[in-house]
Amino acid sequence: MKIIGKQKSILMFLVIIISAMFFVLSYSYIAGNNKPHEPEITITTTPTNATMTWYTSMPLIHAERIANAFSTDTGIDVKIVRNSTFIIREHLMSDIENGESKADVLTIADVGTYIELKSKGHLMEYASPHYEYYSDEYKDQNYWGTVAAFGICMAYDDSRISDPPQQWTDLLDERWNGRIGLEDINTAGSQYGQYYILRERLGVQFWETLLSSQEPKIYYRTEELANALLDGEIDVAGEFSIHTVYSYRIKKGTSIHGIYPEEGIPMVLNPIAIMNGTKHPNEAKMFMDFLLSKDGQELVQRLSYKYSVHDDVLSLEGEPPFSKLNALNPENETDYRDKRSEYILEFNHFMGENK
Amino acid sequence: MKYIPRSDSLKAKSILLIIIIVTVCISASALIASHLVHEQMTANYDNNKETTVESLSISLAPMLELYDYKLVERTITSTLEFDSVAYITVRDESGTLIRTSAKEDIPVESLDVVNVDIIGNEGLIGSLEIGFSNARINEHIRRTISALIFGLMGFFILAGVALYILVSRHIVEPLETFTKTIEGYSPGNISDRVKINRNDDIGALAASFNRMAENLEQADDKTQIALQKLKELEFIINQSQVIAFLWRNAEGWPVEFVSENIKQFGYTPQDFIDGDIAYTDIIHSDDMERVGNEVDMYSEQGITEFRQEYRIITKSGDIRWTDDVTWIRRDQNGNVTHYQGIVFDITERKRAEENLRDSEMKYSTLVEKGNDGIIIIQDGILKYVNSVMCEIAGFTKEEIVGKPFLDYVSLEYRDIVMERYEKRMMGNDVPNRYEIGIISKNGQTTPVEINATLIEYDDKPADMAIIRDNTEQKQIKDEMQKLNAELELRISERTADLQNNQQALVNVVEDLNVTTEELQNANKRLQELDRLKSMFIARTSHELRTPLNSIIGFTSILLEGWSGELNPEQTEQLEMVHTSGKHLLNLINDVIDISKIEAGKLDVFISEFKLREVMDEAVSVVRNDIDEKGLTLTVEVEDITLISDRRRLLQSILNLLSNAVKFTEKGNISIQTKSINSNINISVTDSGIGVKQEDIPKLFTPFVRLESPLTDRTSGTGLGLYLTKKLVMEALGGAVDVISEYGKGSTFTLIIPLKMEAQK
Repeated sequence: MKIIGKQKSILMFLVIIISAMFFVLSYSYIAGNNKPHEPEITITTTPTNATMTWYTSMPLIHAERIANAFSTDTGIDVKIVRNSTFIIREHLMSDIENGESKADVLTIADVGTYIELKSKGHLMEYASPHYEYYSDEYKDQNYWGTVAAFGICMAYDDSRISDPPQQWTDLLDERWNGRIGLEDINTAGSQYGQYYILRERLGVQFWETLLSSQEPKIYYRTEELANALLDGEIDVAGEFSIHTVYSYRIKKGTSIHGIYPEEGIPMVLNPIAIMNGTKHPNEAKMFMDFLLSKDGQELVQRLSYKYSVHDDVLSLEGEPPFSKLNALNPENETDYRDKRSEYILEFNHFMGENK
Repeated sequence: MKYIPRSDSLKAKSILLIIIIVTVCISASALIASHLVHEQMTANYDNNKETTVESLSISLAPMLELYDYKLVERTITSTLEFDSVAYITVRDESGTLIRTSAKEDIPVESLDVVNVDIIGNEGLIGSLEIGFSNARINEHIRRTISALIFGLMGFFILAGVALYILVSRHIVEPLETFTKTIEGYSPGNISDRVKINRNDDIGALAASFNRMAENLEQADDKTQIALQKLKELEFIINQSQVIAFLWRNAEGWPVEFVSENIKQFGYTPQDFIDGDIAYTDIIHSDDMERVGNEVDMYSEQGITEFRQEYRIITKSGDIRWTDDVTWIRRDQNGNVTHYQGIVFDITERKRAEENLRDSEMKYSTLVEKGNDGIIIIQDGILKYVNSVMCEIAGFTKEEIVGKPFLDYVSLEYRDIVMERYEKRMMGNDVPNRYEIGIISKNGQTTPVEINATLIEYDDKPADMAIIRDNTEQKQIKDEMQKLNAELELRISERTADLQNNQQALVNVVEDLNVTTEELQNANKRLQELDRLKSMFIARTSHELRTPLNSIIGFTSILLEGWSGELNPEQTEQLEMVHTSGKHLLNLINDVIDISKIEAGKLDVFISEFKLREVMDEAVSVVRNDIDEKGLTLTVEVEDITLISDRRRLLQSILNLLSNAVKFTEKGNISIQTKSINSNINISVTDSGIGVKQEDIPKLFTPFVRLESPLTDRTSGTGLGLYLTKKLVMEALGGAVDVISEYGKGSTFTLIIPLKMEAQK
């Protein structure tokens, strides 16, 4: 009986092993099914037969899409070099000084740079056929046009703030002390634009008081500024763009609300120009034309929510119509260009220990 | 008994069944699952295709609208993670390639290509082309089905193992435990118990089984006891005369069982059980029809027990009467299945019954028609009288029964009758025989001799008396007395005459002669009277002896149980009757012998015989009495041959021995012989009561019983020694001598010639 019992145990054990093996086999098949088949994947992009380099301060996501649209349409591959306005500016300047300018097309949010580049002969003369749809204040015939314009406004979180400032000068109210956010003027062209224009309109005291007494917080990216509003870190974004309000309020559905002071909306242009010495002039031209075309403008507007200054392109629904804005542009674009360093230093000085 | 698993055991069957079930389940489920999975997966893939295409086209639309080709690339590349998607191509509305993402190792020929337009907010903004790999899909399905099948196999095998363990543990092993336990049982050994302690049905079954085993064990013990008792009963039956039968209710009453003691009829049990002999074969043909009819009748009437007497033929051909007590066994429908019976051999009983019937008739006749009256008195009332008594008293039975006995006793005897009756009732020893007078219907007093005995009648003490009409005897006695008186008177007268008349001697002589002649005549008359007396006595005694023989004979039959078993009271009473009869017979015999001797008519038959034989015969007669009294008997007999009357010598020796036994309470009786000259002296010596010297001459006087402490306790006629002397002297030509010392014992010696002369 013991032998029989031992044989029985061995047999049972074998049967269980066999059963387990079947389970293992089953699992192996399942695992084989679940195992991602990872063959080599070949991605074929739009075939291009030419290429160009685009220096831009546009958000990369926008820039890429614009480039995609252009490439699909033209078969020209657009190589994007993107950074914030003044970094791109410095990068470009450095390339130019080094004689290694790779940019074919430049679009940064600083018209002063274009004026400077033009004055230094670094812009290629080209009059896009789409210039006719642009007002003079938004182009330099034969050199640069305006791909996009955006207005600088204030913003607040209407879920927390029921009585926001209405004017720029309201920012000087004590109740906003320490509760104002601004962008970094050293890198954000829009911040310089606002600083310059409001300094022209409201005087330096405005900024001195604002920066030195109100203890604003400085943010290096627009998204950071927006998040600080939403998080309650600040109550008011002293420098905010209308397209960013659109993006956060309309597209993302947040409670960020724009304030469009009647004192005026500093406008920041985002020009486009072809770099002189471009190795791909035809492609650059085509790119410029593309961006300045109605379709291109609509694309840019659709992507960036910025205003198009093309006569045939309407403002996005949900944004204050461009025509209704008390748009404030620099009176002297050369001065705008020249005062940049000084005003940046001044800004920094006023910020002092608060920065 | 060692438990050896069999190939056809429940375990093997359960394993086989489980294997079959598992195989069937695997096959069926694999088939069904394969089919279902194939269909389902195919449908899923088709669905997925549609869904993929649709969702992709929808998701690509905004991407295309926004020229987010990076997202397009990511999207289509991620979609390629689906194994079935071979490639995805996105174009703009003009057909310009935007992105293509393709897996390198999939041949294009086997692809299922789907093209859809991508519609944006403004309309067509592009197109989507997806290539699905059927081979991959099929491979996927195949792998899935294989995985399912292997999984099912593994599952069902495990399930089969689990089922086997469950079945084995909960059913097979307990059943094996049951089997092992039961197979370990042997006759007389069911002590093992099923060791299963569970709370389920198996546990309950084990508990019930163990209880049943305990009950069986107890029942077995009881059965063993019962079997032992049965064996003992069978032994008793086989040792007894009762034959036990079990017949089946069928043609010939086939015997299913018969006890061994059937051998008393010469048969063996196997003769019947093997069917060699049918029971009906041994029933007497004259009784068969009756027996068969009775059996049928009792069976139909629903009777459970009946009795029959019939004859059977033994194996040797003898016919034996049997008493058959039978019990009828029926089934639950009331149909007779068997007959159980016990059969007794009642042949002797039948015979005895017949004899008893005859003897009862004779006894009844004897009691009713005897020469003496017989009455039974209880509480002073006559309970029974026979016809003779009625004749003596002159009343009918109806007139006399129930009346006080004293009413029929003459006045002068009433006191003594009452006194002796009362003493007898109290168990005192009183004389049983005495004379009284019975007042008959006509007022006359009839002299009777009453011989009363204490008996039990109707479970109560009663007095049974034999009433003998002494009228004739008294008349004869009176007449004899009268004759004697006359004779004596005449003798005295004659003597007076002779004495007074010497002178007239001649006359006297003549007178004397006349007287002598008269005396001679008187003597002749006396002799004649004596002879008549003897003849009367002999005839009367002879007439008495005949019925006495019947009484003695039939009482012997009754005492020996030939007519059935007697209770102790009946035995005692019959013994009394028997003893009284024998006593009376002895008396009669003695009287007859004496009368014969006196009449000169005693026959002597001379023959040659061994003295030792005679002695042995005499000793055998008194042996029982000697043993009962605890006496010792020594016999020293010479081995000689006598020529004499054997019967009379035996009678004489027997008489001496009887007396020696009668009058010796303790000690020894010895018989010695001694040859002296031509005689043989046969001496009977006892250590009994002895005889006073002055009483020795009276010993041989008739009707004389010497007074002694033993006289009243012993029976006797007073004729024994007288007759012995007469026989020895007259018949054998010898003499009798006696030496005795009172209180110490006596020696009676017969002096017998060795060779008897011819009859004188």
